[in-house]
Amino acid sequence: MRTRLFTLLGVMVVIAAVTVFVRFARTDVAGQDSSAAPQAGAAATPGPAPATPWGDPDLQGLWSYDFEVPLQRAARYGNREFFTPEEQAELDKERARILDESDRRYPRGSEQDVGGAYNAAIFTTHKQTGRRTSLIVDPADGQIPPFTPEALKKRAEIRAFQLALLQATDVCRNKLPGCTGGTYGPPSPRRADAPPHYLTVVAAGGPGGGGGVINRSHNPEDRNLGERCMAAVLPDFGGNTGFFLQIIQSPGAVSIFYDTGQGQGWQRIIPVTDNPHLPPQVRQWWGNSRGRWEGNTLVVDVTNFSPKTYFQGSYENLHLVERWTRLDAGTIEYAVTIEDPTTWTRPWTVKQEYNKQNDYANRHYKEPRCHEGNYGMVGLLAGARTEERAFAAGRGPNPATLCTAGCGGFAAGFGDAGEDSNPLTR
Amino acid sequence: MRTQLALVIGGLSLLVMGTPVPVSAHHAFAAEFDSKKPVSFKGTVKKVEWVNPHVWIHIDVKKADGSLEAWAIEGGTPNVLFRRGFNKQSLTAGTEIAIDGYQAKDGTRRANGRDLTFADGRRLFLGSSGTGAPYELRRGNQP
Repeated sequence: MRTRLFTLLGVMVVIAAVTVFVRFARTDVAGQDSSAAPQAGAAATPGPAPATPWGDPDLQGLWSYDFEVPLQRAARYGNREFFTPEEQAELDKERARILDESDRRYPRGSEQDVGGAYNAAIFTTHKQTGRRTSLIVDPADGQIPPFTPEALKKRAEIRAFQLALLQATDVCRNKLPGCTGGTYGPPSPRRADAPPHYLTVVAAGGPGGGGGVINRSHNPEDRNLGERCMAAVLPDFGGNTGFFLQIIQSPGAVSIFYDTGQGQGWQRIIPVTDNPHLPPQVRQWWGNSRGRWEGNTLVVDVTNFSPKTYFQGSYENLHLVERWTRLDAGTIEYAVTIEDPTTWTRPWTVKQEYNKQNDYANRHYKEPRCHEGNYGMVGLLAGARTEERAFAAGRGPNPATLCTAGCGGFAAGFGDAGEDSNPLTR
Repeated sequence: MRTQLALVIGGLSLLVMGTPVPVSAHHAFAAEFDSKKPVSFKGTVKKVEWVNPHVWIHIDVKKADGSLEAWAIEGGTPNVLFRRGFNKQSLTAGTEIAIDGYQAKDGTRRANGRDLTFADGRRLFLGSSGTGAPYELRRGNQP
């Protein structure tokens, strides 16, 4: 009994000593960081990085990003990491000009007009141009490294299936961008086939029109992850409908609620532990996270992704090393090194800056869940069955000639080429 | 030029490599709604379902014989509408709106709301403010 008491006291002394050491160490780091130039655009909020009552660096709060930075750098900027303030202002002016004319539509009565559905303006939010020319900081050219032959093969197989199902539609007849790589022809016998790989998003096969993943609605898994309310990915760099992180810490764990997409958010628990990852046969949608503190930084190693998850061409072999650092009271720097030797020829690193949001102003609003209101999935499956019945009864066209996915019509406010394309990615 | 532009802007993927990875449930409206069934009518708002992935606006449409027909109109995503200043007070029960859209393929009385206007002709969505940069920058409202 006495021995255990002494052991306990000893452990407490060690914890106290380590806590004091970490606090001093953090003060130094924070001091250096607050003098550094902000990454994204605005001046960093002054004030030291806080700590939790139990001595860990404090990442808690509501976070988002305040500036729009493209994932990959436009080629014309070469290896240049930052815009000048003049360039930022000029880019915002140009984007405003294009977005202000966003009430463009396809001819009425066309599938593309229905696909476009709304003015892009009510579907997307845009933020001011940030200082960075790309979120990717490594490689130096700001580009995702080339795909491996293995990944290219898989993409080509998916693309060939997408094109087979589009070939009898107006998209190919009119040579719209969604048919890139394909040609117009009669309905493909492949329309009855099982997909060559698990279907995720239209981009899994390369370029293609928005919505859906293949031009078919036999069942929910013919439709893309977004339509199934399952599009949330890790890592998540935000998107056209906004992005919020709510971080809550307890001793030994960091939890993050990703409020992302259209109510497709998810709750992430990061154990801060030396325990190994889950065994390799256990696969999870957002992988398996293991965190540790390195000074002021939460380092998280993520493995064990599922073969059904999709991130920029990578599936179950995705490996992330995330580094979360509170630079000051108002800023977290998020850096993630992304590797998958089966998908890319080398690892790559993305840096994004999160800005603290007002807790009081955001106290009520949490997005309702996508699954709860996803009447669209029922509607589009019912629509497909209606078309099949009409065709069988000789009252309607062959459904294979109609476009329901990859047809285009949603442009996030920007054209796909020329002077009306997004100047940040052009 | 405008027509050409309109033709060019389609076929674009939200998920083109090179843009930030978007997470969006924006579904293929062409799968749900019928390009051969355009609808255009006025209706009175009964209620608005403020849900993800899309807002649904329920309206009563008065037919020629005076009877009422219930329609549901699929709108934008709550998050984006909210950022644009559109909230629960923007479209209260009893408001008259005009719909220009396409009916559901399965023949039920649902439609997508391509263009929604108030009785006085004001656009429901495009006229909203508080869109975030760079719109406000253009309007000179940027702090």
